[in-house]
Amino acid sequence: MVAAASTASRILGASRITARLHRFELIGFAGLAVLGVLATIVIAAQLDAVGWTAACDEAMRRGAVTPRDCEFKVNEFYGIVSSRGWIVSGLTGFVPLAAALLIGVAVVGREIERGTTRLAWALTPSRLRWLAQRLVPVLLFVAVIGLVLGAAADRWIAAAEPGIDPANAFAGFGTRGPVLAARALFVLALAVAVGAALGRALPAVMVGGAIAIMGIVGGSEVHQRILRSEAVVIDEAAFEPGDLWIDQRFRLADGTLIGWDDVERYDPPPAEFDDETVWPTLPMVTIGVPGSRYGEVAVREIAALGGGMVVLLGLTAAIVTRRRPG
Amino acid sequence: MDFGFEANGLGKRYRRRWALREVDVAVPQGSITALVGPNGAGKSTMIKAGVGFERPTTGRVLVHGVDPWRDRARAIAQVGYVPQAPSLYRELTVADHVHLAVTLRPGFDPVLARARLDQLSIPLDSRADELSGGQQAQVGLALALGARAPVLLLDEPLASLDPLARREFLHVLVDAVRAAGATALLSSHVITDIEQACDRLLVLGGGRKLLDLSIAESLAAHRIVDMASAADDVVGTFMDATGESVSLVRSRAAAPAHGRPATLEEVVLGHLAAGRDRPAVRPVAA
Repeated sequence: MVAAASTASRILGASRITARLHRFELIGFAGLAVLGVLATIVIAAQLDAVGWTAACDEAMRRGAVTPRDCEFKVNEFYGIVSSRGWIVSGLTGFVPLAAALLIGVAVVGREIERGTTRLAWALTPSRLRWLAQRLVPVLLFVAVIGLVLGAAADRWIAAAEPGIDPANAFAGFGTRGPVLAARALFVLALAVAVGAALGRALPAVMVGGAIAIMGIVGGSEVHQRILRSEAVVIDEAAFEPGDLWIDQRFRLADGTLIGWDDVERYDPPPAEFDDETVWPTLPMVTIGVPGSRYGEVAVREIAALGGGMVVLLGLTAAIVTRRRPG
Repeated sequence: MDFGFEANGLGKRYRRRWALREVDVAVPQGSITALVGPNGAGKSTMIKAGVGFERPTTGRVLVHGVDPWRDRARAIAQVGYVPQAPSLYRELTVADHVHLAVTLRPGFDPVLARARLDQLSIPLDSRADELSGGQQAQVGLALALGARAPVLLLDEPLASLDPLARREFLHVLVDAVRAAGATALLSSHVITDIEQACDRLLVLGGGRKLLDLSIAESLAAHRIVDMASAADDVVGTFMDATGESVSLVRSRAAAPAHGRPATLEEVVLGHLAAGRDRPAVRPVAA
């Protein structure tokens, strides 16, 4: 009992010291996160108050006759989305990743740069213990603001696109929900590893930032290719706004799918076009991934990012145990 | 005899330059040994090898019988280290540093560390960047002493201190080492101070060991002559404070003493002059 209390006290003490070492970053990013949540709550409430319903959204999307009630609201609704939406998406998307990058490089890189590792590594028989003391509170912080702002982004997407269910929609994939937190934790692990390798904070921010951008863009590209290989044919009428659109095809009578390049061969265009002309006349289908698969795909992305994070933290541990303290 | 710190055939090469080469040292337990030499002599490299911060290129270091590169955890548990610059966290208070040491090092004695700091009237609630250089060095020493390690490795902790702070630092060090029966290896440029505090002298020059004796033996074994004769065993020739050329010679029990007794500084200068004239550590051939 006493030993457990002593261990808990040590962990709390170590966390308090780590928090003091990063207090400017923690306070700054916590403030921005609160701002992001408040902005989301306020602006989403403003959108809700407009009364632009899922029915309005559906009618406009399908090009159907818009209910008269919706006509008065469309300008106000999209006016708010376009004029204030960037505040929400900027804060929710930017803060977790920026926090991860700037705090991450400081965890090891700044300590090596300032020479404090000479003191700490000479005191501790285990550099991994030191790394864990520095890393765990920061990991928790980034995870919490990632999850909170991810939830805020979910709320935003629900307000800005009333026709979708955020839990079953690919809209804003990667910039909301737990995937956002996973991306932030991946960037944190990357920044910690780069900081440990370079031993200097500013170059680590630049190199870590560049690698993070390449990593996220490259990872998204790979993920997109995987999704492309898993895409199914969805009839035009059945395509929901939460589905992931990948491509468009035309269906021939025998069920064969063709693209725009082949349309003229199977469905010659009329000699003259006017406002009434409908062409192509072949039925259109969408190649996409149903929004109902969002949860499964999100879990897969989180697992991939988590695996990458574990590899990067392992790399950091290897660097920390071998390198000079600066 | 047991040794607190040993180097056997120790060599360290940075790219093409050897910082240390073939150094054999054995620091007896319970002694305070001054590690003296010019910049680039390899003092810091040797001490860092003792903390496991540098990997020897050749040979090995043993701290209380443990090789820091092979078993860092056990070796660190034997060592209290005071780095060249105090290396404190500027955002943290002195009390935070003591707490940090408690969280990082099993068995750290915070009461001892705080008592040392209280003795010196260093406020525990002051941030590290509010302390003077001397106070920062004392905090570093208090943390090293709180580790209750049998071996203390101090890498030029006196370099940036004023004379009074140096005297205080050495006073605390000597008291603590004598009370605990610990071994200390103290690298320094300031020979007048270490003469009072240390009982052994280890001189490095050009990456090689030039002298390794007790202070008393060092003084007894050398004399200063203005004009060395062919019969003298000259160690090295250098200019004294007046600009005159003098020679450090080895005393011979069989021969009548001439010249005058050497001071510790002259012993060091004579051996450094010898080391400077001797081809020492050359770059590695391409």
